[in-house]
Amino acid sequence: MLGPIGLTALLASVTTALLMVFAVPFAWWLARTHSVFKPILEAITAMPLVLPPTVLGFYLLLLFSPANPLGSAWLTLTGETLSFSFTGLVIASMLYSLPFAVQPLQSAFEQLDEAALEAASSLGAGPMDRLFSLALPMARRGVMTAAILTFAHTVGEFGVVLMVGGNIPGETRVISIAIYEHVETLRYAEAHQLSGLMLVFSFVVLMSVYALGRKAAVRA
Amino acid sequence: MVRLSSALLVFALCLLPARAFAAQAKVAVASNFSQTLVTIADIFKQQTGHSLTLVNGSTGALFAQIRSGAPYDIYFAADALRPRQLEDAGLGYHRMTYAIGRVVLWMPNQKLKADALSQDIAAQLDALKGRVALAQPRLAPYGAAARQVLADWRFDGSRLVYGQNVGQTYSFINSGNAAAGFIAAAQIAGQNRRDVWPVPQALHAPIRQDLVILNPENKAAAALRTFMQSPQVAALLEAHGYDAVTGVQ
Repeated sequence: MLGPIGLTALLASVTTALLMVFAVPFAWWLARTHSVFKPILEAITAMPLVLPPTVLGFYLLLLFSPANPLGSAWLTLTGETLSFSFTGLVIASMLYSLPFAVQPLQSAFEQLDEAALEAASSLGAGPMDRLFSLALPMARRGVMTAAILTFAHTVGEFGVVLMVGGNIPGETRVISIAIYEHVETLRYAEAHQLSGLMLVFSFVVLMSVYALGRKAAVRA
Repeated sequence: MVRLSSALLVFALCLLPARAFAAQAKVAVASNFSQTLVTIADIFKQQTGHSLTLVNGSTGALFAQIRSGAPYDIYFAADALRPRQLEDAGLGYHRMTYAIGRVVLWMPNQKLKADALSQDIAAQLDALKGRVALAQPRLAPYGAAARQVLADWRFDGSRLVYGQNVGQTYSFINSGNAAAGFIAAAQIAGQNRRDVWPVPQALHAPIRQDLVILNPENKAAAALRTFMQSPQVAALLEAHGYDAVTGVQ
């Protein structure tokens, strides 16, 4: 069985991988489109930044419930509920970390050299071709930043997991929940170990994001 | 603006003499008791003028907050252990049992006979699909009692899901995310539900709920402690799913 650290790492990895698969084409589309839906979709994407995690947690709890269509369909398909499951946490984390994946990608795509993209287009490269063979390599720092921030933000998730996770060891008992429980049961030594680890981790992550940004600036 | 606020100030000052003897207390209350205490607080305010601000959480969580200096005046726990520990640590005074808690097993949409045998209920719970919720035993005495029952039944531990307190446990079951679970009788008191089984008190250690005064200077807290021993409150406790405490402590 996975302890809180292993479980958190797994959750953040799976979330990052799945979210990047969705966020890259989505951010690419957002960066190039002039659709009237653009501000609407941008606003929806940014909402997890301003909403209290409890709002997300509350709605997810209702959505995951077997009393509702999604929850009951999932229960029939898999035999277990979405709430209190690792899969449920992955879905919750993808929503929760969505802006951290999409926004860095979108701004990286928006800053790409138009001339190069147009040249590729005139040589017959379709939009997806331009994305994968040109835009992604050119925007690789944005991609790195998006992936690192998504991973780190998922590691730091607390409120949503507290509401839909149910604190099951090896399944939904991630680091933040474990710390909360250690503090409430006055086991400060254990709380210190995990909290110290998180402190170092978040510093290293943010430092690497800023270092990436610095390199990019120097090159430009 | 200035005129308006000075008018308000005068108005507020006029109110003061009438409420001069009324005090205010911050009450830390275990989740299972918070609904009941809201009712009690209303009556208490009518009769004494003292007003209460309730802060609810699991017994363990509130205990940790008090140990870290949270500014509560009185603490209504769901067990006897933590108030005693506060007393031992010199942080609590005048400990007293205010109610005996009752646990119920709630299986929404299942018909349960109140007098059903323990092993029949255990079998019914086993056969039920889905998760079974209880409050985190380390934090919440109702969760600890539930765990005693489940251990006795040799219930499959991998099907359990833990709420931070009985309040969250209730919402897990109520929202349909958990198929059944153990909550406080107080949470569904007066609903006449047929999908609830009162867990016999013999199946777990009694849930003696103690209170302790944290701030001996606070008049409202002291008055509340006295008020909790009144026959009026005893009747209210029974109606809310608790056993009242009879006789001397």
